Amino acid sequence: MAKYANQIDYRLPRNAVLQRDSSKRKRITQCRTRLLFVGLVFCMSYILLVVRLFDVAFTGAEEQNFVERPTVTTSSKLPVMRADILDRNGELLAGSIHTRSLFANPKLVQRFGVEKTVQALQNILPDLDADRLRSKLNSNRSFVYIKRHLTPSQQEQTNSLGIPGLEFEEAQKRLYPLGSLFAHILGYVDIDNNGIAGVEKYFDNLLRKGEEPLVLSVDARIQHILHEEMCNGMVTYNAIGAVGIVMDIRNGEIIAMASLPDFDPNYPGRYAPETRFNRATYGLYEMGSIFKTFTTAMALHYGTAKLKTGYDARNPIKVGRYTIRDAHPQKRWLTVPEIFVHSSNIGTVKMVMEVGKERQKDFLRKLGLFEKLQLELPETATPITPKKWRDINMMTISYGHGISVTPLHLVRAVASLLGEGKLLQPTLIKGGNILTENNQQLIAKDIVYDLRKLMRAVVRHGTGRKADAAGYRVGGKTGTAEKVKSGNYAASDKLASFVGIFPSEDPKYAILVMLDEPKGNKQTYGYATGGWVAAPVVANIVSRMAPLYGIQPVYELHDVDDELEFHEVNYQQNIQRQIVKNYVHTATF
Amino acid sequence: MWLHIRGFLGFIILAAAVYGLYLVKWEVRDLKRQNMWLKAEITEKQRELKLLQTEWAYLNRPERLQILTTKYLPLELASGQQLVDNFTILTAAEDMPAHNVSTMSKYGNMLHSAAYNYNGNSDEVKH
Repeated sequence: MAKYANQIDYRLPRNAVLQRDSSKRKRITQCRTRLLFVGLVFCMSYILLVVRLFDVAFTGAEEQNFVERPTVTTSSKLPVMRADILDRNGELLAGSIHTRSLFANPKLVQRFGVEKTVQALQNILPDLDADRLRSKLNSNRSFVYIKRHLTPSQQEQTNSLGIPGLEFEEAQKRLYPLGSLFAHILGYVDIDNNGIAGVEKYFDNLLRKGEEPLVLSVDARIQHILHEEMCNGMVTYNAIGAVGIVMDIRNGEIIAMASLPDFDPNYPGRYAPETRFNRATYGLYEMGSIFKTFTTAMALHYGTAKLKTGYDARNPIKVGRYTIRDAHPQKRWLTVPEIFVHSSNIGTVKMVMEVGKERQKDFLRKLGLFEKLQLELPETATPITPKKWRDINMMTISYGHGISVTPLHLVRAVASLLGEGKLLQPTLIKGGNILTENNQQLIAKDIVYDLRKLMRAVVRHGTGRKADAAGYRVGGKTGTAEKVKSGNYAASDKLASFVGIFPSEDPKYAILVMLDEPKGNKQTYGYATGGWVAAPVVANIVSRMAPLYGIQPVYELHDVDDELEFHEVNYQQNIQRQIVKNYVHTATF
Repeated sequence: MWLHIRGFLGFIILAAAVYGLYLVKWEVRDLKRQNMWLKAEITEKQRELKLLQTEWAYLNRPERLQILTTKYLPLELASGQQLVDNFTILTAAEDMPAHNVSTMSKYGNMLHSAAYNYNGNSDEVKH
């Protein structure tokens, strides 16, 4: 071992100490650097904190506000609000407001005490039924509605009760600020905001999307006038119901439409079911003499009569067991204008006999009187027409009996004949219709002018005198129909109506007013006919509505119907008419 | 030494980046809250507006306005007799005797002078 001991060099390398020294120093330097690093990091952090502290203490005051605000439910969670419905001038007819509904978790409420809760809630919501509420809160369910649509103050008070288990649900409520004014047009919604009648139902899907408001063609001001005058008429003549329609003849837009009795769509449940019936579009009525407008139009259109043609109206027409008489018998030969002005059934029947069944049917069909009414309402009806069109049907239909149509059917047909002579499509939407070349021309323009003259003559010289509104040249036709009661015509129960146009020389609006079972009074000498009870209502409406629309009154001596001849009969023609007379007597029915 | 300076600089940059990120994060968080709050406030305001609009429509229903007008204003329902066209006004003023015109209101006088001008012009055209 010793042998090798000397060979071992125990010396350190020459630079060993130096080496060890430098590595030590290196490590110390490293440590210092690290310390510095750490120190710096801490320093920076402290500086950061200090800066942030200053930031929060002095400048961050406003931001703090945002943070402290109670969290509000974001809009994305909200239900889409049902779209508004506006009238043609932008008046709000139906709108949705945001509400909250109160519901309870009975299990939680039971722990707090049902009786205490009921008492507390009754102070805030006095219309709650205590017994029902108690049984609701004692139930085993975990969700019961207590009250839908709380007012903001009720909400606040309930919230401040602090009763566990009482909670709010976001909801919306449909409001109709104008009340019953547009009841039958707008319809109403159920408690879950589903449209179940009227425009609300027809446009339910569109309204649900909550995008653009729906703009109707109706005018709230005119609707008010119509509604008020109809109410007055109903009260004055003690009627059981009324219908009123104002239509723009130029484009078929419905400016106003009301059916009485009506209801408040805010509380449809509070009204009798029959008030929800829209007589204007869903009620089918035999409209009576207004149909003479169509008979006269078809006679002129098919050329079977001219304005100067005369008919023998001396004797009632006997048809089987029926006798057709005149309400205002003139007992002489009558010209076409005279038949129209005096509303002679006999003359009208003789006119239609020359036209014939098939052409009569064809003409009435073209006027849209056989088909279901196309309108933006779910409540529209299909007219009732005779299954077999016999001669007696032809005769009675010529003066408006034996065919039942809705009042809107009638206004549409009259407006079509007296406007452009083209079939109009009624609409409830503003700008919903544009009369185009495609609209079928029903009658020639000169026959339109003749009809305007005839209607004006009715108001100036005939049954519709009470419809005249000074300066506005109302033209029109009266109608008085006996109502069918238990299979027979009831002479005492009448439908009195008047359809008017104004101004006659260039009609802009067609107005129909119909009173159901009016009773005559002292002022009407006991009469309850269209001319006595419905015509004055139309006059009132026109004289209030026309100044609103800035329609210029005209007080000139010349009038549209001046060239019509009365009390003059071309007797030569009448000899030819004898054929008709014979036909009446020999025809078998 | 150069290495140290580089390391130090790197650290500073890193710290600045971290701090910057931190600030941006806070800023974003605040803005988000602010946004949410503003949205909620807009919704709330829209609801209030809607309520007020409905209330306004309710207060302005024609029936009520009519009652208030008859009660508080010396106005009657407008009638056709009150409407005349411009031509009628002009010719009426023209036909009116001078003393009558002088008693007319300021508006009437204005119309009279208008009628005068109208007349004068038309004469010119005729000649």
